[in-house]
Amino acid sequence: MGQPELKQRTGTLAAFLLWLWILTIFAVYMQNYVDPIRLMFRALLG
Amino acid sequence: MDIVFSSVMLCALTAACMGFGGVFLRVSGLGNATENWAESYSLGFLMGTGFIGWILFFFGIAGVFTPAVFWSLAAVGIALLAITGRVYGNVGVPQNYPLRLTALLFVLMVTLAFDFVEGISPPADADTLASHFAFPKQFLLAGQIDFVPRAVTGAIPMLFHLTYAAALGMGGELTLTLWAMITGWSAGLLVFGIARRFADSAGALALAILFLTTPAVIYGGGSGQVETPSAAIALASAFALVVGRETGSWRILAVAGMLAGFFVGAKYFGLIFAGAAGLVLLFHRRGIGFAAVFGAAVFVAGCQWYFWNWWHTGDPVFPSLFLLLQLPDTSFWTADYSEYHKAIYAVAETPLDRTIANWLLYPVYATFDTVAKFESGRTGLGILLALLLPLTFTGALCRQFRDRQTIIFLALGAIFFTVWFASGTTQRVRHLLPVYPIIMIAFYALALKASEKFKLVRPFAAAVALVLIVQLGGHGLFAANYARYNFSSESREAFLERNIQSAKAVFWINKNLSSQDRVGYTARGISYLFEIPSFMLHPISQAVIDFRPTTSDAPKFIAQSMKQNINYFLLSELWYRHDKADHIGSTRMTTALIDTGCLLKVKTFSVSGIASRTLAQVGSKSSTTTTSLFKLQPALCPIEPDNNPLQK
Repeated sequence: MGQPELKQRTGTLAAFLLWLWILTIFAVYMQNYVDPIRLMFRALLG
Repeated sequence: MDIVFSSVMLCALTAACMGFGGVFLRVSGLGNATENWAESYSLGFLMGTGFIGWILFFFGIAGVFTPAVFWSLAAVGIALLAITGRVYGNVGVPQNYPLRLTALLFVLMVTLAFDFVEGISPPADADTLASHFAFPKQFLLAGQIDFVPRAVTGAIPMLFHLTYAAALGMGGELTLTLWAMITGWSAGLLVFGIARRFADSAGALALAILFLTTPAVIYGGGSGQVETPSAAIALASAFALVVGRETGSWRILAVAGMLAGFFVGAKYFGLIFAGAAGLVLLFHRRGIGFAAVFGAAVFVAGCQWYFWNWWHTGDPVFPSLFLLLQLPDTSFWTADYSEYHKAIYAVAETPLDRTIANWLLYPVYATFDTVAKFESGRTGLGILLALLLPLTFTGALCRQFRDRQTIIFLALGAIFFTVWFASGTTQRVRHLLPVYPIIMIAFYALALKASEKFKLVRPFAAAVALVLIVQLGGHGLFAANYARYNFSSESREAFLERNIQSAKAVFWINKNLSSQDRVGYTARGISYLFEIPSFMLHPISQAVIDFRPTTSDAPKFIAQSMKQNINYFLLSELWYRHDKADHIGSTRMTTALIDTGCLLKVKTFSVSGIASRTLAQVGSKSSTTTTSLFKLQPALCPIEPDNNPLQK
C-alpha cells in the first residue's frame, strides 16, 4: 500500500470514527429528552 | 403609550451604557484593538452596563436611589455617546450572502423572536421573582439600598440588580424585561465578534446562535438571572486580558481588571474568575506588574458589595466565613443557624464528593444529566463541547492552532472549573455559564481549524447543525408559554396566575390589605408581586424569623414575627393541612397555632402546583393545591412576657 493510499484510508477511518462519535454521543444525550419530545409531538398532533 | 415610553427608556439606557463604555474604549485604547463592529459595540455596552451598576451602588447607599438619578445618569451617558460615538465605527454588513449565511441569519431571526416574546411578557421565573427583580423593586420603593439579611440570595453582590433597578425605575416592568433580554444578547454579539477573528461570517454566526440557544441561556438569558450577563462580562474581561497581555498596555489590562471586577460585583463566583485571570497574567515576564494593575482594577470595580456585607455582618462573603471568623450571634444570624445552613446547603447543592475522579467525571455527568441536582437537562450547557471534543483535541495537537488567545481561554476555563468544584459551592451546571463562552470559543476555534486541515468539515458541520436543531427546538418550546400570552387576550394577572403558584393570592392581598399590614409568606416566587410590605419566611436562608422545618418554638416564632410587624401569613398547604401524621417541627407548630386561634384563616385560594412552566404548554400534568391567608391574633397566641414586642 503506497503512502497516498495509506493517507486516504487513514482519513476515511478518522472521518468514520468522528461520525460514529458524533452520532453516538448525540443519541445518548437525546435519551434525556424523550419525554419532552413525546409530549411535544402529542401536543402537535392533537 | 406605555409601550412607547418603555421602549424609549430602554433605548436611552442602552445608549447611556454605550456612551459610558465608549469613554472606556477610547481612553484605554481597547477600541483601537478591536477588529470588527461586533467586538466594539458589545465591549462598549458591557463596560457601560457595568459602570452604571457600579456607580448606582453609591447613590443607593447614599439614599438617592430614584428615577430622577437614573434619568440624569442616562442623560450624561447619552451626551458621552454623542462625543465618543465614533469609537464604535460602522456596523459591518457582509458583501455576499451564500446560502449557509442566509439560512443562519434566518435562524438568528427566529432565535431573537423567541427571546423577544419573552422580553415583552411579564417576568415568570421563580428565582427572578424571589430576588433578581424583587430586590430592585424593593430598593426603588425604599429610595435606597437596604441590606438583605438572607444567605445565598439576599446578602450577595448585586451589580446587575442595580441596572435592573435603573430599567424598572426609568420605564417600568416592560423596560426591565427587555433590558434583561438586551444584556443576554450582548453576550451573543461578543461571541460573534471574537469568533469572526478565526471564522467567516457564517461560522461566527453559528457559534453565536449556539450560545444564545444554550439551555442555560434560554432559561436565564432573558429572565433576569445574572449568569448570562456575567458570561458576557467575563468574556469581555478575558478578551481584554489577552489583548492587554499581548500589547503590554497597562490601560487595557486595567479595563480587563475592571470588567473582572464588575463580575466580582455581580456574583460571588466572580472572585474565582478574577483569581484565575490574575494567575494567568503571572505567567508572563512582566506578570507581577500586570497582575498588580489587573488586581487593583478588580478591587476598585468589585469590592463595594463585600464591604457592604462586612459592614453589616463582619463577613464579606456572608455567611461563608461566619463560623471561620467566629463572629458573634446577631438578631438576623447565629452560629447555630450557620451550622444548620451549611449542612442543608451541602446536601441540597453538592451531590458529588469532591474527589479527583468526580472532578474529572463532572463534565460527563453534567452533559448527560445523570445527576438530577445538577439540573443539566433544562438549564445545562448542552452537547456542543462533547460533540466537538475529538476535533478540538486534534486541533490542540497542532502547534500552529495553539494561539495565545486559545491557550489563555482554556486555562481560564480550567482554573475556574477546578476552583469552583473544589470550593464546595453549589454544583448546579448553570453556575458554570459565566465561563462557558470562553471555553466554547476555544473549543470551536480548535475544532474548526482541525476540521479544515484534515478535511472533516462535513462531520463538524453536522455536529453544529444537530446541536442547533435540538437547541432551537428547546427554545421554541420555552417560548411557547410567552407566545401564548402575547398572541391571545390573556391578561397579565392571568399569565402570572398560570405561571406562578400563589400569584392569585397575592393579587387578592394587594387589593384587600393595606400598606399598614405586612404578610409573611412561604412561596418564594411571589416576592416581586407584592405591592404591600411582605417578608419571606425562608426555611433555610434567613434567621430573622426562625422557620426551619425542625422549629417548634411557637412563642419565639410569634415574637420574631411581631417584631417584624407581620400581622398576616400566607402559607402553603403543607403548613396547615390537618393530616397530622405527616407533621413535624414547623408544620406541627403552625397547625397548633391555627387550632388555638392564634392564626385565623381569612381566605383559601385554589392554586396550581407548577412542575414546569415550559412543559405545561405541551400537556405536562400539573397538580392542584391550596394556599391560605391567616390573620395573626396576638391575644390568642403563646407569647412569653419577655419576648412580647408589644410590651417593649
